[in-house]
Amino acid sequence: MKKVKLMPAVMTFFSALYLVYVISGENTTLVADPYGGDPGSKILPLVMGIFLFAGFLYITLTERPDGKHTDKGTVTLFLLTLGLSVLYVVFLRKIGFVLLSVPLLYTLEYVYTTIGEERQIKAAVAGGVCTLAATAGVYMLFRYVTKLLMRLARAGTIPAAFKTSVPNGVVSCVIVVLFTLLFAKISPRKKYPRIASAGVITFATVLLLYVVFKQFFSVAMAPGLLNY
Amino acid sequence: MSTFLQGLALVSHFSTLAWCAFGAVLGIVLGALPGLTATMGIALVIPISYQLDTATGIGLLLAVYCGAVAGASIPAILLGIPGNPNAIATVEDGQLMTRKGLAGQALGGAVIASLIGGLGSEIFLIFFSPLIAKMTLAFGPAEKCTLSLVGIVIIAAVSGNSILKGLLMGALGFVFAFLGPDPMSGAARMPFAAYLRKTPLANGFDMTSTLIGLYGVSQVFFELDNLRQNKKGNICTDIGNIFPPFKKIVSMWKVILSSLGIGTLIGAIPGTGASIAVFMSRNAAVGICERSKGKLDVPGTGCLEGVFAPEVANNAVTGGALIPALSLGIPGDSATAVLIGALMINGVTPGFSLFSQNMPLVYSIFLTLAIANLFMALFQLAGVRLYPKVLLISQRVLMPIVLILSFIGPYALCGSSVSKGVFFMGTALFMGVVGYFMKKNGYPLAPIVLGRILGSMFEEQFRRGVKLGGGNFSRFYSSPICWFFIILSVLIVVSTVLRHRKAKKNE
Repeated sequence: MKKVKLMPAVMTFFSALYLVYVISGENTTLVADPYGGDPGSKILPLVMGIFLFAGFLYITLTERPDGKHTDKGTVTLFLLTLGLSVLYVVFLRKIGFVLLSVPLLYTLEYVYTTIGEERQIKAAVAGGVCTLAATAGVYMLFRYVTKLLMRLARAGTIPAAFKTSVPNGVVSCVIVVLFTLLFAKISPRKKYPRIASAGVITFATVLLLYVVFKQFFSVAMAPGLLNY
Repeated sequence: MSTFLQGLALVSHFSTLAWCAFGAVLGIVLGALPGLTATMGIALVIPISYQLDTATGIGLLLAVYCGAVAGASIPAILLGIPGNPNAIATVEDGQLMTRKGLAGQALGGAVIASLIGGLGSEIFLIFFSPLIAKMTLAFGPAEKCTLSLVGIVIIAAVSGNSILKGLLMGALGFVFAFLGPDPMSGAARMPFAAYLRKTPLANGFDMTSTLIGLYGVSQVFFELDNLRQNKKGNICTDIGNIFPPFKKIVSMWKVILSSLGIGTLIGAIPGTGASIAVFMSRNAAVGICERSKGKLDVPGTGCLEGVFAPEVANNAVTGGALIPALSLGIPGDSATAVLIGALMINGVTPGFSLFSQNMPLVYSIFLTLAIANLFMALFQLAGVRLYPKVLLISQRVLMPIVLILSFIGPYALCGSSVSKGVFFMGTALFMGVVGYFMKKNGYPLAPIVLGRILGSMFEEQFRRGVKLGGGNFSRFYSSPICWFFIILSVLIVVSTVLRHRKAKKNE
């Protein structure tokens, strides 16, 4: 039996499923269509389903595998990236943006930058825990500062501008930059350069993303476990 | 005049200028880094543009687009690797100039050429887009339906090596657009509707999440193979003088004008793209220089002419590609396909209604495009000595950041709804995986994006057209415009099949 390419075969299968779904579905027409004429909601999905099925089936039957295989290392990287991404999407709401973004970003930064090198797993895990603690600590610090500034502005102690989120965002940005410099300074760059750079990049990226989207654009950034 | 002043008022804010400046710098950096494309850059800033007022948001998107096209010349000149396909034709002369110790002049020349191309093509955009948009007044539902078919066929024809795969991807984009409520009756049209009806998926796949997933998440997966190889060339850091002699630029006026014309025209033909324009303009420049009796150097010898011709052309493509994009809603390339999606997300529907009902916004688009080009030139010149250092940033460091941005982008569109944001992130991840496998197997992504964008309009206009014909296709076969579009689609398919067959035979 001749070998077939997996991708078009899978797409043929999905096209067939889509066709079954379209055929078994209800054909709805325009609301208030007393004179008729509306061809209904099924016709175009049906045409596209048939075209997709026929097209992918043709490719499945005519194209042969080229024998090229993705090497094992790339497959491992792909599965790691995909697995972490799935976990990130699934648990973001419960665990929260800060606590979940740090492991995702730190792990990928460390793994990608050490491709082809010997990895120091124990030190990397310790570095990850330190990065997570530092990021969560600074996040709680600037949340505290922001809330304090808002309270003081409402009481009239400081300018009223601090009642809004943008000036507070600027203050948070300054805090993040200062702590990033401090974190970079105290991180063991000479002994563990890859771990240190992964930690600093993660720390700065996660906190700046939070400040930009939460404080400048008022996006609810899933506080999760750090909600207080 | 009053509408122009209203348009001017829309962009006369510090925030508009600041976001355009940010977009230009971001675009230059994205364009300069091989592996990061203009299309991905536009997709990633959509969520930010959505948070801004419409004119400012569009300014940001256009600045990223112009910056990324121009920024691609930096690695082309310094490394011999184009940042994206727009700078392919700049590589030869750019690299030769760098070896001669004229890297600065090549970089400076590329910036000046990009500015001339960008601003020059905008004149054509300002002049032609309202005229073409006016032509669409003659379009009814049947004509609009066949026009969107032409758009899909064109993008399928020019993306990838097989028109069948391109068309299948266009059809897949249509299927993604058909999921969700029926546009005419409002009835649910989603598999497992009983389970999904209380989720955002009941409305189908969100457009922004689809765009970001296909161009952001999938790019990260796709680059994993390159991350393992970690190719790095020798980066020249000895830049020298960055301004080419003014007399030299003036003497190249024929090269500049021909490249401007070619770039704008090729850009305005939907689906052609900058990679064709840069080679055509370079060939035209060779002819002009050979006929100049020694006054001009011939491209290919490491001269400014060989940098100017493709760089004027690739930025002229940006203005040219916006002509059909704004007037007809048909993109010139994958970047403008995403740009149309971004405009629609920002509440701007391209076509005649935009020109007839919202002329101040049209003027604001023209103005922000000019501002974007000026900022692009300013920041690229100012940072000429800094950008070689940007090239030192490894993709291994950048890709995790691109991944998290690709998740936060769709999430941010939901504002205060965390659960909706999580669904959008899931959509982006799903589309990223789909896009990765498609790309890996040689299926182009641009037709999926365009199918997703045009699908709803296609279905709505098709059903209106049939209904107006009393339940038959008379509206389609009685309209000469429809015939023109249908014949054009068939010709494009046939010519592409023949071209591919010929190319296979030559192999």
